[in-house]
Amino acid sequence: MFLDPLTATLILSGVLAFTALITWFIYSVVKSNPTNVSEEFKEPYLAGEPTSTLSRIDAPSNTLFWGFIYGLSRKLYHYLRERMHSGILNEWGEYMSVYLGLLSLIGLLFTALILLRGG
Amino acid sequence: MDIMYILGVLASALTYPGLATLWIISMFSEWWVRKLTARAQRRMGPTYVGPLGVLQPFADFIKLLVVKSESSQRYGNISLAKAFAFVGIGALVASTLLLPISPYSIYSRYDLILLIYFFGVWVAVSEVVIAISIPNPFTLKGASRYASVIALCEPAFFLSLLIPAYLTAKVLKAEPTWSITAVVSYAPQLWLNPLTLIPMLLSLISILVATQSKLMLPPFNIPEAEQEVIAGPTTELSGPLLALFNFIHDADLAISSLIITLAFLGGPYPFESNPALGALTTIVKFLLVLTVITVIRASFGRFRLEQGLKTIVKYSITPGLIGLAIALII
Repeated sequence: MFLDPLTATLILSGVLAFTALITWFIYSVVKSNPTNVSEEFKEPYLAGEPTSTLSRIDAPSNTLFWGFIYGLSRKLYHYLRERMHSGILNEWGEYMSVYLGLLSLIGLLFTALILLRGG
Repeated sequence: MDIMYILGVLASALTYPGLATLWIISMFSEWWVRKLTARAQRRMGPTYVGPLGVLQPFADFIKLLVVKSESSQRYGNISLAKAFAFVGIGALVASTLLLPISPYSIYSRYDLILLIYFFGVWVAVSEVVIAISIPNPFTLKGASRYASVIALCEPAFFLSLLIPAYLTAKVLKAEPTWSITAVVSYAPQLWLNPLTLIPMLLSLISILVATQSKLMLPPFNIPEAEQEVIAGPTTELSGPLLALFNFIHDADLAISSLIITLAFLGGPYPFESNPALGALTTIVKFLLVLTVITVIRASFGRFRLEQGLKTIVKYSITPGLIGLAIALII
């Protein structure tokens, strides 16, 4: 059915929520009940190493971000690490705000371009 | 729009082309890829359950869901992982409704953006959040590698879809503009026109490489490199939660292949007027796409992360950008 973009977005968001709810219901009904779980199963899997080898088990949230930057470009990672990174979480938040701000700006520019060109 | 239409859409979301159909297609796609890869590597592949082992992925899924215990790692947030697994499945089902394969398909102007939102953003976010909900150094490393790969391959995937969308909107003046439905309807014409053939060829190469990398299939299985990071994002997943993650991954494979089948190979073309022949043609093309993905998977060893990223830039983003530039000039 041909719909306007807003209605289509609303209906598809509704479909997402509805399907997620139904899947949760099916999952709750059919999944196996927890049996006697051993203590070993409750610890993180470290390929046989004890958890005492880790300095902390819950990795800090910015590890994911720096791992991502390192994976994407080592040069960029080292540049950012040397120039900007202090290990303070608030600063990471600041970098992310700047990054998302830049993305929003690019998005706005593209929207403006499309509107100027008449769709 | 009446209540009957909304009820029809919801029923469609659960049956065809929604949850039930998606489950069957996903499991079948997994079997096809596993069986062909095994034969290419002189192995038997799945053989035990069903004829030629075709029911093996179904049996694996049901066993993980019904028999195995749910993860219970003490530092993990299992509820968060499950919530995002359900959201991921919901987003995949919503994406299927944007494809013109059912009477309740939804289409509008700019629905390509909706496909990017549901299929590109929510599915990838769900997979990352499921992984990092249960902390583990291997998981975190795998998830950050996965994030690095999808930061390039997801834009590349949708960049390659922009080319036929632009060509149908601007060259063929088809309505609705920037719609996946219009792309499917007019894709064959783009292949027959010598001017639009080159950008279409470039975008097809681009989307094949992007698909291979977004699905973490060799040579882009970097996030789950077992000798380095155990199972990467899925290290801590087991039982029903692993079943959900595997389902999301298989559904991602099935929908990506379906998008290529419809938007690049024309779906039922040249039998649009005959539903039976059209459906058969679409299935054959779908299997052809899966076979190409499998051949690439079976032919390469795993790249290192930087090699993988360079390959995505070289063979997916660059052809996509060149194709788009040619399309804009046309």
